[in-house]
Amino acid sequence: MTKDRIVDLSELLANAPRDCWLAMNEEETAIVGRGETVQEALAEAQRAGVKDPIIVWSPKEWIASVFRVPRT
Amino acid sequence: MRKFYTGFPLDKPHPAFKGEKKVWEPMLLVRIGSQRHATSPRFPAVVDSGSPFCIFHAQFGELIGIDITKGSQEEIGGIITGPKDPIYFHRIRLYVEADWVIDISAGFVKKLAVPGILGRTGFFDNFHVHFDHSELPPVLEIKKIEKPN
Repeated sequence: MTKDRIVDLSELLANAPRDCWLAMNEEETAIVGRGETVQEALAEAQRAGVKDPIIVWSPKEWIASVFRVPRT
Repeated sequence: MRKFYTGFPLDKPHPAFKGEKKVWEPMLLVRIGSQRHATSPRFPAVVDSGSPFCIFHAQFGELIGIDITKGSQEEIGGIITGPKDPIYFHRIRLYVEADWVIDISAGFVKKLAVPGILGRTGFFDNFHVHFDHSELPPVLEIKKIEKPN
């Protein structure tokens, strides 16, 4: 099976809130929730009517590493 | 299954690779589940052969009802900054994309800077993994290893 769709989050996340958890819609095209915790971001997404959001961490700074700015 | 790497922003292009405004990373959408069948929301996890095991942010474990600090404990360094931090292991169910469900032991860390890491024990011992950087974006190909019961 091939996932043909290229998921490029660079513009969406570059302009999104930082240093928080974000919830994206199922299509990964919009931010539908944010929070200090995963639970908060999830709840906001569900209030927006998104049933199966995708949760990502948005660091203070996006750098070329998966181990970006760590949470403390 | 073949999947393109996922694009993430770069605030400051790396001085050695000027002009780059994004970085492509090998990510799979996963969710984790508990023995009680509670499941987390989906989140992207990086496929990383440098990690000895699968590691998830503690908040996802707490969401599915795991009492994180009751797991067997070790200390972890290298992928978190600062001093070593405790990692707690639990048996979980891992849902990989929409295609596979496997039961694994995974670690949970509070300071993890990404939602999840798919490492050698738990992921690479369950999937053949091929990274193809001959094109841009690169492509990740995974194939489940069929094991006798």
